[in-house]
Amino acid sequence: MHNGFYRKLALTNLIKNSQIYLPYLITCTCTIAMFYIMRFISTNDKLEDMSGGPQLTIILKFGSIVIGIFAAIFLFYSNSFLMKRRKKELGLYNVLGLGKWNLALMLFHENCIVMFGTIAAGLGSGIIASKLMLLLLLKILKTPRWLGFSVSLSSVISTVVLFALLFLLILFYNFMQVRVVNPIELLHGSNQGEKEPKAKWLIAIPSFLALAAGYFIAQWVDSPMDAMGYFLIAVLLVIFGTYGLFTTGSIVLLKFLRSRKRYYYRTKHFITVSGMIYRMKQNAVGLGNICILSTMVLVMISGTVSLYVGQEDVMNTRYPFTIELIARHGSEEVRKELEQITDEELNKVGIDDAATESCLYYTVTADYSDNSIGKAENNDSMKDICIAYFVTAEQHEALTGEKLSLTGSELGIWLNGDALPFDSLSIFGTNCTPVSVERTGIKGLDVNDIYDTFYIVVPDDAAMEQFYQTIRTIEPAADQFTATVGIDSKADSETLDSFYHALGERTADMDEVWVESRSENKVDFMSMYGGLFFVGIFLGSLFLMATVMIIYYKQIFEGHEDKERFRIMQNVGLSRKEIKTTIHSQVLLVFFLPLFTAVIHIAFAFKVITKLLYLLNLTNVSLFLTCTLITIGAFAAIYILVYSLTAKSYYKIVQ
Amino acid sequence: MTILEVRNLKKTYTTRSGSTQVQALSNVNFSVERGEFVAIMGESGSGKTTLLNLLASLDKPTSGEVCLEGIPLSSVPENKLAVFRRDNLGFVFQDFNLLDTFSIQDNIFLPLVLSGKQYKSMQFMLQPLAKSLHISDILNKYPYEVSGGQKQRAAVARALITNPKLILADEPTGSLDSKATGQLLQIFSELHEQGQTIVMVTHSLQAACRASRVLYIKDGEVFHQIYRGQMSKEAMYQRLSDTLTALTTGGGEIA
Repeated sequence: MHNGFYRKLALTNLIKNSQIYLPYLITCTCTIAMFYIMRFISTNDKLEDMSGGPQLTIILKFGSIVIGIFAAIFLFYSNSFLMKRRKKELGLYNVLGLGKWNLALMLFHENCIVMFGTIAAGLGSGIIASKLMLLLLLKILKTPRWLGFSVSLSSVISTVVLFALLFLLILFYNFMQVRVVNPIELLHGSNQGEKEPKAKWLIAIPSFLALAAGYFIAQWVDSPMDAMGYFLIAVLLVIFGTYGLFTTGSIVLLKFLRSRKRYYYRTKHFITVSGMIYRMKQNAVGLGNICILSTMVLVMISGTVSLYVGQEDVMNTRYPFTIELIARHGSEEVRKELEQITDEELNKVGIDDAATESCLYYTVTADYSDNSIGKAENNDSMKDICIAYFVTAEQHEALTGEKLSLTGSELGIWLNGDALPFDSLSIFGTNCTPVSVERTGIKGLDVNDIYDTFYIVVPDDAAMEQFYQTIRTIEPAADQFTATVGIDSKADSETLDSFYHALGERTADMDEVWVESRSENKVDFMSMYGGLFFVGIFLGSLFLMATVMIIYYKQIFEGHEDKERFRIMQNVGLSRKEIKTTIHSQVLLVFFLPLFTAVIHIAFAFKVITKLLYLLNLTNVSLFLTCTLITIGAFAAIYILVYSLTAKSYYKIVQ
Repeated sequence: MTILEVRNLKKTYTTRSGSTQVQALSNVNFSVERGEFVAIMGESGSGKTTLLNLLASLDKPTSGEVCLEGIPLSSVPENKLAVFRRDNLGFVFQDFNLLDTFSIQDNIFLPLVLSGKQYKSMQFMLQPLAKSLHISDILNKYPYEVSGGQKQRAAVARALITNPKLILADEPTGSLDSKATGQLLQIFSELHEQGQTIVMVTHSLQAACRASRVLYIKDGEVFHQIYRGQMSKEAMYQRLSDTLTALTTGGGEIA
């Protein structure tokens, strides 16, 4: 038999199995295209040269690595699906006289067709779509787009190499599948009665504990720094718990239900419980995958979307003023000098709507425990670190227009913008009594979100100096006074730009003084959040595609399994309608369990994710909540749509 | 007393394109008395299984009528058919038709659970039945863990547990080895002695010679029938064998 024969046989096989192969081919093509596009964009020179380009490129490169790893796992996974489904067919060929070597040759040709076909199609569509995606990215970044179309040869090469290698590994795996089984086993491959799983308490209990621990960590973390440290642990615990509970927990629960005779031997429960034991045993891992993927899609899209949408907020949090002058070695004189420079330059440039706010304060980073703050110990935990801002009553009045009359050891103290929850506070050994007055946070000071922040108003300069000296002796590394002048103006960007540069020139020779402009920094933020947004959407759709595909395959599998069951039940005395409703409810339960679980995961993760977003300066929790809810809604809609579309092929098989 | 009556039964299948019509049953008439053990024989494609499906109300005749205890099956509304089947008929199939998702015991309980019986009364009904069918010790196993003979005995238990008026068996020995076949036929004989009405479709002489009456179907009609009367099993076997030879070789009159 010559090669032409095998090629023909392989092609016929693919066409005959198109119901299961077509989705596989489409997924391969899309994955390849997406990988190429990500490589193409992340290695684009023009993009890298853009301002904010380097960090954008890093994010995109990271994205392409994730796609690569994911592609490997996912293609393997779907291939194993296909092979399971085709065991009977291969067994038949074997019985009909194709030896293992012949089968291997046939698989080799099939694999070659799939490989060449999908790589060609994937690269083709990737190259065409790459320009489109680049334009989309530029639009997201709000950067002027450039014309021209290019193909990145290095990206083509890396794509081909990666996927050729993957297909080679898949081929090897398929060879092993054929090698280890005998024809009779192959023939009965798909309808072998599987052993009923034992109730694996040993896995179920730790899984439950892991999930509980993951949830607990997510609820317990309070500070963003903790969130960063514990997030990964919580995620791993939850993933472990999810798989464990899907595979064993569900069965332990169902078996418990079965052991309760009065419950189990009811018409409704009887078929559902036993059917679910069987289904969970076969589908648990797949459902776990769907659940984890769905959770990732939800987190990624809602997080990156809210960062992107909340950019203004982020900018306003990080840069409270349009332009701000900051002197690290501040004093009353420096503050006055900065004010004067500002006024002069404002006049020179001709900005007349400017609102300026100047401030002289003193900050110290300290340890915070119970009702005292003191020297920061040099430990790794950032949990108890706080920042204290000291201003004089005079300053406070100038900033807020609010007069505080402080007597004796009385200080105005607020914690994170709220009244202090204690009756007294020891500040580096000095006992103070807080006066509580309602007030809101002060722009640029006192609400930091990452650390606990004390805002302390002292009666006068003398008191200020006294605190300063006390703290300096205990904490020699403490900061000096900081003087700032913040300017808000709605002048056009050109005027502001020249004002910004003029300030820069005027303060160039002063000691540790710098000028920050919100709009100057905007580009950097934009490229970072825009890049994250782009990668988030990109990976989100990739994971979504994977989810869709797993659901589709599961439906087909379930269909073939249920076909036989359908017939038997009818013979035993169930009406078609009864069978349809019981099976339908089981299938619904199976497919919506992962979505349901994913939503619970998100609900528990919500708090810790908001803390993580704090680190990225996004403090708008309600924005994130809105984004999350919309994402969940949209995802659920797509999920239901996919389910109902694939359910059609299910019913086609069953009937 | 007549338990089952089949009158002028006709079944025509139309191919999917609608162009050709295949006549599976052309005109079948017979009746079964209470307590009879009737075997229906015929070659492959003679319409045996079609007939059984019609008796079981799993399919509808083109014309003619099947009456169970005088009730025409066509008068039972579609949505009541499943319940009707469950209450009046017991099935034994060639490929057992046990559900892999249930243990043997639960497979047997299935029709009872569907009728809403209590667990205690189900247990009460199962124990003697399991004992007489020698399946007491495999009740907690799953269908894929037991042998073909055991599976078929479990299927018989499932058919019997509702005390059906009529047992319908479709090639019950078709998937069994000779030992299991012998055991199963012994069970059928015992059931018959206890007064259970059985209609069995088969083309195994060994199975048919246990019956009290054998009907031959050929080209969609009842062609011939033989009563066992006082004949021994062996004599019946010889008689059936001769008849079958005569029928298939197309020989003249049958004695």
